[in-house]
Amino acid sequence: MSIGRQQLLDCARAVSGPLLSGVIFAAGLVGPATVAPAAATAATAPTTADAASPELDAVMKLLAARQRGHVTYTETQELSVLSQPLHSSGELLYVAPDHLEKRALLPRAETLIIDGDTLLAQRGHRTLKVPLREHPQLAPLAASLRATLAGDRAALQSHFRLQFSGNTAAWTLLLEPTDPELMRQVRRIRIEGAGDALRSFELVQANGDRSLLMLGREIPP
Amino acid sequence: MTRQATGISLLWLAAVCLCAALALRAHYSADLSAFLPRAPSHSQRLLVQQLRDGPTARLIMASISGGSPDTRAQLSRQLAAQLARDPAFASISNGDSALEAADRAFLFRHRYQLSPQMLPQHFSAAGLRAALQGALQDLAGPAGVLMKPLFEQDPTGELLAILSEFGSQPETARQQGVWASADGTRALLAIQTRASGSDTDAQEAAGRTIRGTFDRLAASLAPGPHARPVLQLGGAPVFAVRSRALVKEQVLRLSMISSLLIAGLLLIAYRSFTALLLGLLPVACGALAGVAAVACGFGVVHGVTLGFGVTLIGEAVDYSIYLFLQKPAAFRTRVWPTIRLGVLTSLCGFAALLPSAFPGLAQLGLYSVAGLTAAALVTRYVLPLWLPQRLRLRDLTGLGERLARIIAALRPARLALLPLAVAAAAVLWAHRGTLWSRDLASLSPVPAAAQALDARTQADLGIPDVRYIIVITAPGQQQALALAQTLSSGLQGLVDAGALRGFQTPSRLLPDANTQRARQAGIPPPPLLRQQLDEALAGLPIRRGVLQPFLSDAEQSRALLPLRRTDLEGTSFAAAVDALLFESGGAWTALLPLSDSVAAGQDRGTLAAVHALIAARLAATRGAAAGGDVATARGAADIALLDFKGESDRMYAGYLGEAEKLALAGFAAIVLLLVLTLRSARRVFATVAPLALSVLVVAALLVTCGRQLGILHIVGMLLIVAVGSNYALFFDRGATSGDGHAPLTLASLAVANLATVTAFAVLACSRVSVLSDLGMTVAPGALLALWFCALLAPVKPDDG
Repeated sequence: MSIGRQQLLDCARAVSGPLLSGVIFAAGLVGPATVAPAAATAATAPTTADAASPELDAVMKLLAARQRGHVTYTETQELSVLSQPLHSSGELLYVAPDHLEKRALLPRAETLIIDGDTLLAQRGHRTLKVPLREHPQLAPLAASLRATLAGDRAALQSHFRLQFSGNTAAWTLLLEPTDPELMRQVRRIRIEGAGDALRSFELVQANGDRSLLMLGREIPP
Repeated sequence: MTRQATGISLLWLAAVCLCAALALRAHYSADLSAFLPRAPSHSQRLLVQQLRDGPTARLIMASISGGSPDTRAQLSRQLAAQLARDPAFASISNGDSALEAADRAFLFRHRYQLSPQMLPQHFSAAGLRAALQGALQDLAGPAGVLMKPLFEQDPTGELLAILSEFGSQPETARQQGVWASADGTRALLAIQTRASGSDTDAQEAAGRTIRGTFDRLAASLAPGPHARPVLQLGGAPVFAVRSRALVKEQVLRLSMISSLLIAGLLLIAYRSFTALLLGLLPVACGALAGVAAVACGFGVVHGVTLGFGVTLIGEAVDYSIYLFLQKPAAFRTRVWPTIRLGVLTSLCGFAALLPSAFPGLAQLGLYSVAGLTAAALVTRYVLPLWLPQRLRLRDLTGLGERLARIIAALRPARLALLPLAVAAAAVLWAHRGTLWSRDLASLSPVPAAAQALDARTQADLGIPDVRYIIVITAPGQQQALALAQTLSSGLQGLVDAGALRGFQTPSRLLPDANTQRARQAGIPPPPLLRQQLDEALAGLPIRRGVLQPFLSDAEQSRALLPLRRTDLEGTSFAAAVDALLFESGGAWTALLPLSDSVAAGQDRGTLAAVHALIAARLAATRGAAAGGDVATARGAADIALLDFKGESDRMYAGYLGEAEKLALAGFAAIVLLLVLTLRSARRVFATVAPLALSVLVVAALLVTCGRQLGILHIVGMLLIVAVGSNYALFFDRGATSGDGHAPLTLASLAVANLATVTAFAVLACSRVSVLSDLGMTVAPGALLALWFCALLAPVKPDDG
């Protein structure tokens, strides 16, 4: 027996949809990272990925080979509505191919999980669970972020213009959306890494809000 | 014809006309009400009301398969759009994201009326400061981005507070923006009709409209490489319509088949059309009398009763068989007394069903009592008048003699019946744990495959099976909502404490007007709010002026009128609230389904807590009523926790227990009747023993074939005794009257038995489970009863 509960649930889902676009940014961008020993940064001229780039391919291959990452992070957000930046810190966990967790410890314990097609937000024993795939406008974004983590260059290029600079030891990847839906939300994403490890994620949103995520030391399993 | 004969014929004609008139004017129904109790307890009444008129009873689930995903999504949208224009449908949901904007706008606009956080001190300087500090922490945390886009308008997070009450959700897959099955092969729609679920005609019309609309839309599609799209409908209303059609079709078909088979059988036995027609006359009269009696006694005749009535054909035809085949000349003096006793024993059996709370059984009882009486009377008083002087029938003496020889040859084997009885009893004992079926669904005429498909669609749509529902009944809508609101705060406490996973309530989307006004009153007038906000902002890193949109939204919200049900129109919440809040019979019902975490039954503590909440609320309501509070004193408000599964299990167990009692009473009545007429313990034993043995063996057979015994099996066993007693009595007469088992008696018993077995075997093939249960019990039972009677019958003293 079931009592028209579907409608109620569906409306909750409907309302939470647009709000989630932000969540997916936060969770999706954290990346599968451990920090490699700082490598010598040999600045090279930026290469657009449209040109053949063996270095980018090499980095993608390294990323694809990673199965797991568990690191600490600190995040700084500069929001237009606030007069001071917001700071937070915690742990990030990535398990290939599609499990991603952002566990904040400060300023307050709170966890966000993207597992397959589901998004979970937990605080205390309250959990909000939403299926990702119900939001077609987000699908390209989620897919492309996953593509970065999985080192899937072709998938990335279907949504972003890629600019790669550096070499496998120290690299910078700049993503600029080509998808109009994405463009309304994201101005650019800048990822720095060393080998198969990511060191920082910077997201600049269309309205100028900026968040910088610095990835720290690896937490042994 | 003598004067007396003319009188009888006229009387008969008058009775036939009367019965025909009654039968023609009777109201026939084929819905599921035959399977619901007549005089239910309070919670059963709630259950039945939900099953008949609740939102699920009005929910049609449609799935579109075939075609490409794009085609299916297009059809889903077009179907939803067209049906939305039809007033027969209350709502059509297909997950289309177009509604989302309206829903979102609605919640956002009315957030200060809907948010549970809107307590009196929420917008004081201290309250605002606490809320803003929380918001800053939220912004910094991983889910902060949930808040960011709305921060300027809703810095205190009212929208999230509303949303978080909905809790986590089972998911419905989407394809091309509309609901789809998990495997992505079907597009899904949930359609709520306006007509109640018990209005089967309206539900049938609704189904036709949906199919017709779909066919038109599908026909206008350009032909593509994919298979043609197909529409399938499911859900309780569709089942109700389908089972009505099924019962109708089955009753017609089964009556036809068994009439034809029995007519064929009689034609072979009699080799006379005249005898055949005359022989069927008592059956026709009996059926007519049965329908008329049920129409008078119940006001409405269930289709399934007519289905049971097929069995009457098998029984009533026996009497004329005895008349024709056993020397018509001696009928009145020799054969009739035995038939009379047989009729009486059968009547005892059927009459035992009359007090049943299960309308289907009570009607079967009345139908059979009236039908058998009429058939016997017609056979005894009308048929002899019309028998042609020179009725030439096939002489079945040869058959009778052959049967006598077979029986004589088999008689030594009767000793084997004792081990057979022991073996049957052992089988039943071995299965004693799983002997009885405990499931109400076993009474449903809908095939199990269709039920399974429906369960899958329901799961795909993310509609959970709800076991516990709090049912609030109140004289007015506002009262029901106010009760729902107070209970909700208690239930939310259980959710926050982690005892309860979640619950639904209409008061989330439509709080009672007082609650809404109180929340609005929590917003101070603009100058005061601005002052308190400035105070709250002191020292916080929030830029000046950023929260201006919040101030103007808050000011506007103060002036909003309390939301009414009609304000939800145009959002998907309208259907959601209608599902949980409705008026029926002048009273308002609010439903609060509890999430299934307590359903596992492990959490007795949670259930006890819910019961305590309800008891406290009821006490408060009654106290207010006693204190002369006009609003509550006007009518009794009531709150009950309904355990769907438990209640329907109890209802079924009640039926089962009742059927057992009735069957035993019927059996006892038959034995008593035999004791009174036969006046010999030995003769009674000889009559009853073979019948009891048949019942035992049939029960063991059914269990061995993997059946669980249900109500209709029990009734079937009673019928074995009622029908079999006729055979036993003829053997008893044969043994006591000194002429042994006359060949013609044996032949007539064989033919009569064959007719009965045929009728019940046809019933056993029915696709309606209640009919087939009965058939598969009585068909083998009647056959065994005849043979056991033959083998166990006492023989003449000089024989033994």
